[in-house]
Amino acid sequence: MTMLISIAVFALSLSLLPFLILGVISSLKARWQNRRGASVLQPFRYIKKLYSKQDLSSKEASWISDLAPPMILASALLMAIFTPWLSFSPLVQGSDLFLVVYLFGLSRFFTILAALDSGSPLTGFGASREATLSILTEPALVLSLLSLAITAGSTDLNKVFAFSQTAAGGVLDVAIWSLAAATIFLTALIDLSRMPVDDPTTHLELTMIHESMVIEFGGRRMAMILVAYALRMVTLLGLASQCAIHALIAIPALQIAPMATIHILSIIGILAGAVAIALVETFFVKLKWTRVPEFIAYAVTLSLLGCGAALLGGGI
Amino acid sequence: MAIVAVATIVLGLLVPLISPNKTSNKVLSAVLLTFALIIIYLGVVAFPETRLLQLPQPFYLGLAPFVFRFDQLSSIFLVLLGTLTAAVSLYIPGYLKHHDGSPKSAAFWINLFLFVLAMASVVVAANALTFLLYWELMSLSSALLVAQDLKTRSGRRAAFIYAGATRLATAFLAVGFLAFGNHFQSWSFSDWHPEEPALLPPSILILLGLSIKAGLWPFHIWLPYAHPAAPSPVSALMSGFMIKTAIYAILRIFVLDTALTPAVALVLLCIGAVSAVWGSLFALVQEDLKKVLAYSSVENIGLITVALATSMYARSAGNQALADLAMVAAVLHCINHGVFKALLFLCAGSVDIRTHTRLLSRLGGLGWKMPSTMLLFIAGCACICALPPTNGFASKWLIYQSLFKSLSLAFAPTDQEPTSLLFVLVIGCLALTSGLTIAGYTRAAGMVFLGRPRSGDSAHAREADREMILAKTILAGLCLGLGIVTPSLANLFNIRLLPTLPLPVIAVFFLLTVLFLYLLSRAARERGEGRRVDSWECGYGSFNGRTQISPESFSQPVAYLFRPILLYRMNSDITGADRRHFPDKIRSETSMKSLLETSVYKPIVNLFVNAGKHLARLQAGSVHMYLLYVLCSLVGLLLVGALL
Repeated sequence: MTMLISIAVFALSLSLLPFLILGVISSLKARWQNRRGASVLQPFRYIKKLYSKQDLSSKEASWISDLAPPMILASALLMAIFTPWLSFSPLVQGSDLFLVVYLFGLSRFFTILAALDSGSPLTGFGASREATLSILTEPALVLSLLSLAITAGSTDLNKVFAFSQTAAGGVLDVAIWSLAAATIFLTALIDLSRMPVDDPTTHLELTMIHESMVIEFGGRRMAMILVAYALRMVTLLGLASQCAIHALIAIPALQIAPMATIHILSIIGILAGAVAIALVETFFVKLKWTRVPEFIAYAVTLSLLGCGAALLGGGI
Repeated sequence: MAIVAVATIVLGLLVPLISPNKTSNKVLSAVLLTFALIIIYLGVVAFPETRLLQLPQPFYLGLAPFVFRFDQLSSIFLVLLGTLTAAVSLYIPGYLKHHDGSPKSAAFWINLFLFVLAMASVVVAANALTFLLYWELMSLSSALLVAQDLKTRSGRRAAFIYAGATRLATAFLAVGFLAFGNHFQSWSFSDWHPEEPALLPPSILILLGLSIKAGLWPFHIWLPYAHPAAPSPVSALMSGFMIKTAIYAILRIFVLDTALTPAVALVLLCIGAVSAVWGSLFALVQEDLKKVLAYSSVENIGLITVALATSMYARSAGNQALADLAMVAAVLHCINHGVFKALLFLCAGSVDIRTHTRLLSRLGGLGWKMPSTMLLFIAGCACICALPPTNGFASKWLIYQSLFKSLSLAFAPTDQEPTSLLFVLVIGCLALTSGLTIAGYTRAAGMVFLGRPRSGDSAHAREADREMILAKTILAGLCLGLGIVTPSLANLFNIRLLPTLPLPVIAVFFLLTVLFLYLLSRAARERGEGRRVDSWECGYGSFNGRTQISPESFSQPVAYLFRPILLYRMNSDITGADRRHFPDKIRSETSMKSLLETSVYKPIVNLFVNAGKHLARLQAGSVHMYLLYVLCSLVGLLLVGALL
């Protein structure tokens, strides 16, 4: 019975949260920039509109452009199912660290191919930048998850993020979890092409990364890509917030938190991540493209520190 | 069965010798196919029980008899070789029909038969002398296959560099084998136990020789020269199998039952990780399609070496289960890489004969002309990028798991953290490698098959022959099938350390997605949707083949990031009255070399050339000088004799 309820709640949050997050970010940004902005529900309307629009495709586009959007959506869905980004996500077998990372790779592979498919230089440059960023973010993501896996002694993410073993929390545990939270949040900013790396709202296609890659898509295929994007965002933010919650309850004073509080915290954590993204996008400008690798170097350094701390803690 | 094998190979050697230009390629390829099937059969038969085969008295190698040993490890490699050879034999007739170098086809076929025979014998040789004999045969026949085109400068250079690399490898191997043979008073591999500290120098020599053959960093430089020069089916065999014979030898001599010192294992681990990063980085910036594939072989050999080193390390730490896991990971990655790399080389060969160019900057838009080749190439790319649920992911995952498990290995409490940190760094390097691989292969596939043609060469291409497509389809099918079964193959070797991997579930999920997509698009077509329009061009008018992203500009950000290693330079020259906003002329030039070749190999080569020039003065051509040399050496020898 509890299993059924958890699956139902998980399905509900999987179908609502991603779009709510997008809506929250854009409406908060509008508020802080002294605009009225659209309502929080705007992404639902937008996807509905896209779904009923006529689909146009480029004359150069091959079957890759037809195959890519469903594959991207499928891999995003698999990631959302296999990653414990909510404390009440149903336990599935085989939610392996490396599997999740390579599912990210799968969606990237098809995004880049689809961008090269139209033969447009705009999408091509977007693809080149996406490839460069992914080369640098991959080690950060792997190492930050690895530091957690070392502490747990297993690469099964369900075991890593289970709430049983943080009971013996110490200073080192707090450090490991908060370093992982910071790294995953930075990786999320880069991977989702958010502000200090990429500005999704400029008017010039050549300056963008993700938006310029998918410029040739419209209608139903664009809707699929947008849904996949929202799923990826909620998964990554969810992972970061799970890490933050673990860091919190590893503090001895807060140790005995009831599960219900944790469940609520895990949703609040994702919303807090969205608020943080909106804050960053309101108060910071986009970095110059040549400065972006430095920014990613911070993420990699943090993840290495995390691994070092995990090894010091005598994990595994 | 052995008699049939010998008969086939003799037939294969005799037919082109007797009637050089009359025998059709189809007949010869049928003979090769038979031979390949026999190799597979031998491998399958020998898997359950070990067999020893000793040739009778007249066949004797001076110090040791000809002995072949068929055991589980050999039979795995035999089956891989047989499969690749079968695919290649289906592919060759179509390839030779359109290839320019057909007059030499008799020599080509003889070398090819010898090459396959030698590779099959290397992996079943039971003693060092038999091994070395066939190793030499393999090196020479492959060198002759690489030296197909001696008229061009690049062809001669490739043949020279490859032949030099094989000589060096054999020299190291021979010295190491002699030392081993002396020490153990036996040439049989089963008597060799190189774990004694006194045997470290010869072990290192043998490892050096083998890593030259395998193409490990920093000895990989022959690969990017040899592969573009060799015909594509030969490249497929060389990259798919020949470089793995070195891995096989490392497994046989140093990993299977013995344990070297952990220091050697850690050095190999580092070299493997560097090879992986280096190979994938250079694959990303290459212009020639076959050079891309050659550098990615360096990367994969690096990955395999990482697994081998982990196995060695675990064995010397006494953790047998982990050592077995890492060894199985290495063997499975050998098989998987063999299959998908052969597939990619065969696809590259089809592109080569249909467009007569391998330069990415002249290709493009081939997907419309060669749809099946495009599908198969992209399938190969997905495997080599280790995307789940393909076989590349399965074996790479095993490598990751063995690395992760070895984080917990400890010799003494004091040295645990540094080595664990090293393993963590290696995992980081592998993650970097996988990012580089995805970038490199999406670039290769995108530049060759997607977009618009970049030159007339690719605008008028046609699809490859049906047999060639069949050969590639077999390999691609194997890739996907191996992906599903690889985790259970690991269980076949009694490995109980692993978490479960839901690859079949993922495969079914993606299949359903594709099916769903097909139904959706058919429904859309019935409704008459799906208008085709020009790509968005910012209102500047329509695009042509030149207004696309070029291969150089795709990899430019990465090349810029890694400019200390790639020695990447870009000089831009912008002229005009108002240069900033309305330039008259923009000229941009980039240059790229490799740090290793410019600052290590070139000085060495220069040293030899200069020393040669100076030594040449000795040969003055005057009899008086030579008489003086004779006198000097006589006096010198007398002095030495008196002193001793």
